[in-house]
Amino acid sequence: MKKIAGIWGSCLLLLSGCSAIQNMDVLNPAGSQAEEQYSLIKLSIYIMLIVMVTVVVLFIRFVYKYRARPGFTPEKHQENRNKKLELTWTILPFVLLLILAVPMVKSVFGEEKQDNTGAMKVKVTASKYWWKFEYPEKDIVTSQELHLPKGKRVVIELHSKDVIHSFWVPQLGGKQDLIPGRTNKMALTPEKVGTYQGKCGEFCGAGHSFMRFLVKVDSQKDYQQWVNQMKKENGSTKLSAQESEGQRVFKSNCLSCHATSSTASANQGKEGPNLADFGDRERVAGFMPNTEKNVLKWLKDPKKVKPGTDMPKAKGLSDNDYAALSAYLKTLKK
Amino acid sequence: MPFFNTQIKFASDIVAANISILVILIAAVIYISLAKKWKMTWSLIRTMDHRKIGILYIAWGFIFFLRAGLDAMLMRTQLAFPNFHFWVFQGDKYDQVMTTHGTLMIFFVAMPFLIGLMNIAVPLQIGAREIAFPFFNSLSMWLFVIGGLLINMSFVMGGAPSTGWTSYVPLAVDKDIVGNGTAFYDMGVQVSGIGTIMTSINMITTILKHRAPGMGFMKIPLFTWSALITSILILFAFPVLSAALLILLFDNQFGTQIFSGEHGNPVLWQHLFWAFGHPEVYIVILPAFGVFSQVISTFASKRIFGYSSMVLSMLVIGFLSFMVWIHHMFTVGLGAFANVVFAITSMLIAVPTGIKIFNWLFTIRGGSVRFTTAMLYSLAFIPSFVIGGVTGVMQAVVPADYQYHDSYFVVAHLHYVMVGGTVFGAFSGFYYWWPKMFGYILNDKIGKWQAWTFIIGFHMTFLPMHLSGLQGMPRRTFTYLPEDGLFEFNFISTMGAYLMAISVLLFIWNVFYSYQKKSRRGVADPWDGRTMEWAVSSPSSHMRWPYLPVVRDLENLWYAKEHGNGTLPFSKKEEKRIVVEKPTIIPLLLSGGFFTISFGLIFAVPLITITGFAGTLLLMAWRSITYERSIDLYTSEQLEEAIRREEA
Repeated sequence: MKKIAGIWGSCLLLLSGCSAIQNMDVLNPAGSQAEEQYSLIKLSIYIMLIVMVTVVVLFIRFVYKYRARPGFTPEKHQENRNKKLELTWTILPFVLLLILAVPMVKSVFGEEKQDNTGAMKVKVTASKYWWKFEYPEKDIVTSQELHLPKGKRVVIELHSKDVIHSFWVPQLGGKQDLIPGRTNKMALTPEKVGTYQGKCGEFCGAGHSFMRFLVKVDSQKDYQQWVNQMKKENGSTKLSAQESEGQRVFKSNCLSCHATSSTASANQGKEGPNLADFGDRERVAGFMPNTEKNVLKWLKDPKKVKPGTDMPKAKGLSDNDYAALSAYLKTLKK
Repeated sequence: MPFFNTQIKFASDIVAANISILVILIAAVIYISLAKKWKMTWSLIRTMDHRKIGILYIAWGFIFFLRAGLDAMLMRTQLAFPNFHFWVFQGDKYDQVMTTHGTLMIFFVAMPFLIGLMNIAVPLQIGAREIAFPFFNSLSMWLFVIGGLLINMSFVMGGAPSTGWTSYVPLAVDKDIVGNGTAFYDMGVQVSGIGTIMTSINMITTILKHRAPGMGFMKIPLFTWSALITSILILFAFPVLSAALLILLFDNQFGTQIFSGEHGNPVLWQHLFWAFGHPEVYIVILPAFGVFSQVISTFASKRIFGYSSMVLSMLVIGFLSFMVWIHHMFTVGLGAFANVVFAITSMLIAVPTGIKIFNWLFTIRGGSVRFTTAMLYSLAFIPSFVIGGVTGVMQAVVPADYQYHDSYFVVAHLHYVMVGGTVFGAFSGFYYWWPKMFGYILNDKIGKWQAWTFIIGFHMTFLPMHLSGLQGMPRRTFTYLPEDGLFEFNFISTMGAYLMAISVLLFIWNVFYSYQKKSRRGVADPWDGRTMEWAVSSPSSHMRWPYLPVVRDLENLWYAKEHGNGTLPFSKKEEKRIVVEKPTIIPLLLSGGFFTISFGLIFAVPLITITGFAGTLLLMAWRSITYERSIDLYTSEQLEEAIRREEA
């Protein structure tokens, strides 16, 4: 019994706030929705701790006190019912649940009633296994990295191209599903500048584990600067011989699916992620550090790196072609 | 290698699986031949005895438990380190193993363990001679076995289902991804589901119509009550699943677009699945509650506290279980109103469950607790289940659930209730009723080692999962990145899982060890029992009670012990027609028919399907024609005579 008690003890300790635990994504919110969810999580943990402690204390006391042992005689009168006690543990849980339910209902309807006029709009489209982000007001399309300004409410429209996915940025807010043939909406209001991990929350096949993205929250000014840069076309810098060779390879192998410009018109009908700012991105394929080695690994055998991906292996490319391609991709910068 | 409409690739894992299947089959044949058990095997597969059918349920369930447990070990090994490459279990292979683990554990381990225990204990507890329809009972059991075999075979026949035990569309009907996997899942669960529905009808009839004289509703032991309520839940919930699976079969094999495609509605599948799926959760927990009620009362040597509120709360839980399913779908976007209503009904379930927890605690108070292995499991259940229960209430808080949903927090929660509730209950029931099943007692010392390793391993595995979920680990992921900060939690989980595996091996050892030692000390009533199953010999005999016992109290045997010499009084009523079914092979053959139908549907070979249907119908006709010849009729006197002969 003591061993179990020890394990619970450590569990309670962990939940009630070791420093390492407080850095956990869900418990370290950086947006107002996540903040509200966190406060409800805290409230429910406190209420549930009351329940846990009550049960565990009674349990240890009864099991210890009434254990069969030499010289122990059980009480003559055995109690099999007790109206007062039974009423107590019927009514008290109702009270505890009420304390939990009221703020919950308030929060759900509160979020529903929020005024979305003047909120920024982003359209998210999920496919196996990557994310497309469209900014209809700004005529920008990006993929894999979502840029948001700090302190502004963003209404996110959720679409899926194939199967069900779920949009989840733990530090900014909980999930919402992206379901084919259905449009869902959710809102995020980032409150802290930083880079946050985003993941697909609904199982979507072999590449589910690697269906990740980043959310970069900038100050209003930096965000505006990013928007202006994204609107500019690439190609101001002079390409080296290798890089132009890479551009040629790109045009004949990749361009049918990947756009190198972030305007909406350039992305029409493109099946793959937009690569306009590929050189600036932190990650390749959504989860590996964007280094030359990883880019080559990815290009040479996409299905091995990311199971289930639709990205095909280009046919008949030499090692030199790959090196050139990788060099060219690096120049796609803002 | 081409195989009907699919290709079997002989990768290392498939070869290993094939070899191990072969080795196990050969070993089984050699063992049966050497031990001269062919005759016994032949009579066992034709049996109509509820005890033996119960044992077969549990034995097959245990085989599937080992397979699903092996899957768990493979998964935990793959997840032990960030970016780890263990054998072939990444991507699709991991998904196959993960899906098989979930599907088998829910449908082919938890259900048969509990239905097996019901089969063994319920007729004895209510003083019935047999289950209402023994033929049905045997057929149900074989259909479950066939369903389980289908799911198990898929791995070596071109790919197991790989979209989780929930099998969400449109992913599940994407043939490029799942191949025949979803068809295997669909038919396997469908076939065993038909059996489960028949079992529920069987149980309900047995409990309503075959109780011994004097047993009013408020004198039914709690395990039987739980069996009754569970069966009613099955009767209402499983047809929903059957319908959903039928539509899924059409979408998957015949190209209709009901759940998927341009005109289909993927959310409809989720509604149907969870309208079944949530009651299912209670279907596998209520009988475990029943086991705990019996075990705690027996080993605290005290009548259960608050019997009527125990019954009432089970009824309320069963009722509420049909109106909470949206809490699996909070993130689908059904709107604030739907979410809030279902959140509140979900929270309400905590109240009757809490009542039960306190009743168990107060059953212990004032008693005298004997720490047998069965009791150890029941005691460990209380705090473990409370952890699972409170995380359940936490998830009913809609905005907070947006964070928990489909993360490892959910994995932790569901294992706390499924393992901490159902599996603890099953093990508790095994240790408790083992003498009634086999006539010998499982060794208590090994049993305690087994229980403690299992309990500690369980907490080690699943407690850290709450934290990995809060750290943002999504469910059903085959790996994570080093920078995710998930390594420590996952490593502890993996170590805990290994400890649980050791514990399961200890259980197997205990079974063999105790079988050889055969401790028969007071084996009819080894625990100083309180209900009627402890009044008959161990193992319980197929033919018993030429005159039915009279029920005077909820704890009828205990009452007889307190008010006399501990023998039950029997009714004087002479019966003219006691039906005893003769053993027959037809149920096994019938399930073979279902297997053929499924095989044809899975591999899209109409000829095989039609053959299967024809065979099944012929067998049914054969059974109707030969019914008269397949039973024996006894009068009370003749039965008494037959029992005397049996004993001599």
